[in-house]
Amino acid sequence: METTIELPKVTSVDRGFPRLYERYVRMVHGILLARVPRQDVDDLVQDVFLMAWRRLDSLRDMQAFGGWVATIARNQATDFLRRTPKWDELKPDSLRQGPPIPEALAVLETIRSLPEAYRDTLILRLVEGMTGPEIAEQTGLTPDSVRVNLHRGMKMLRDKLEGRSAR
Amino acid sequence: MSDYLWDRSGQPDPEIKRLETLLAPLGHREMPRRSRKLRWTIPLAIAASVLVWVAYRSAGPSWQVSTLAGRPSVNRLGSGQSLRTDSVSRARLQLDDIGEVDIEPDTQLSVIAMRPQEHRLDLKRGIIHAYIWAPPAQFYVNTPSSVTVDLGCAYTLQVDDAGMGVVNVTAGWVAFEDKGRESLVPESAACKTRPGTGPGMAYYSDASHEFKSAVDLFDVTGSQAAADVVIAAARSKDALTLWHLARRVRPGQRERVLLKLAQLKPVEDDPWKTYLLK
Repeated sequence: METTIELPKVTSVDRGFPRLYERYVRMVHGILLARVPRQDVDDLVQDVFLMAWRRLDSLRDMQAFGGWVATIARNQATDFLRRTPKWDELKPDSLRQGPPIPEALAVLETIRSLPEAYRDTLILRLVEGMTGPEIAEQTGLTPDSVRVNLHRGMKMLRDKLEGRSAR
Repeated sequence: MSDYLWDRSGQPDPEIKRLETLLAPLGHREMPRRSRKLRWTIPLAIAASVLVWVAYRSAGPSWQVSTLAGRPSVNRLGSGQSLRTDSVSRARLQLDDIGEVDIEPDTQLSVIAMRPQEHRLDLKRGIIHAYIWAPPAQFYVNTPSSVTVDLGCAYTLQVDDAGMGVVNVTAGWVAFEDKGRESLVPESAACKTRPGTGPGMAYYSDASHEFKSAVDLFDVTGSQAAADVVIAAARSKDALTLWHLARRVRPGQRERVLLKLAQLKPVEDDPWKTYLLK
């Protein structure tokens, strides 16, 4: 099997990179929070931006940085979950079994149980404090898609939270 | 049309507002943190000593200075100011949003810049230990032959009287650069820098003596024989060094380095696979 080897191109330090970090760190944090254990998110955020910094030369259109780094974040999350021991995802109905946990963590787990499109946008909106237009602009999704995901996701979240509290 | 969920316009939805307040603490915050991978600890006990201080007055933000040993003589270190420790004194610089820098004896250090996106020190000689939690590429240390660029890490940096330096990374990553030549140094790895040649190749600290000697020789002379030894003696994890070597050998020699890289480990568990193979 023929193997093509590509060397990473690391140019001199991009002084604009700190500004990119500031602009997109909430988005990356939210994408990772939707997927990996909370205690590993901060380290993975650093890993994502390091990878983005090292591969910045491969990005032809800087306007696409948001969608590009979002993809890196999702891939990093996937790689992390594949190589680490499985963590016990807290399911909403397990609240009655184990010791009490803060409500915020319970709601986070409920959001994590939603479909990916709703999960990501809700975490970016409710946890990271981004508005819908910001989410669309940074992730590369269309505003209409984000708006639909927010509203459908919120409805699904309400139903789940109400269903849990009714027990 | 107002839509609080979409863009916070109009009357806030009470349920959404409540969830925002409840969940906000879980979001990203720029707070000082130490990496859980950090293993290096600083011994605090040391003989009494005096902190030697050479300063130029400067207004504006400044590092807080604490004396780890001896009688404290200064409290702050700002842009344009310098600090020198004598043969037995040690000090610690702290800046909340950036990190901490511990200064060993016989060390001369200056503050070059203290801007929001650039905190820069100049290490003329001596040893410092840096623990940085600022965002990547905001903390720099100039040495006579290279600039260290923090990428979120902890490291020890040493410079001798001839201007030669070595960085040992204990957590995260550091970039070492000079006039377009760069080295990336991860945790448990080191890299030397020399006046005139800049940063050498990064290498893992547990590499063999033969391997490290060959790295040194190649850094200084560019010798093909030294490159041959590096290639031959490389372990799987020494892909780090081979990656640097591939960018520094003559074009006609690069293929040998790339073939060795491809041979070292299967794609599935090679941490460098994302960058080296497709």
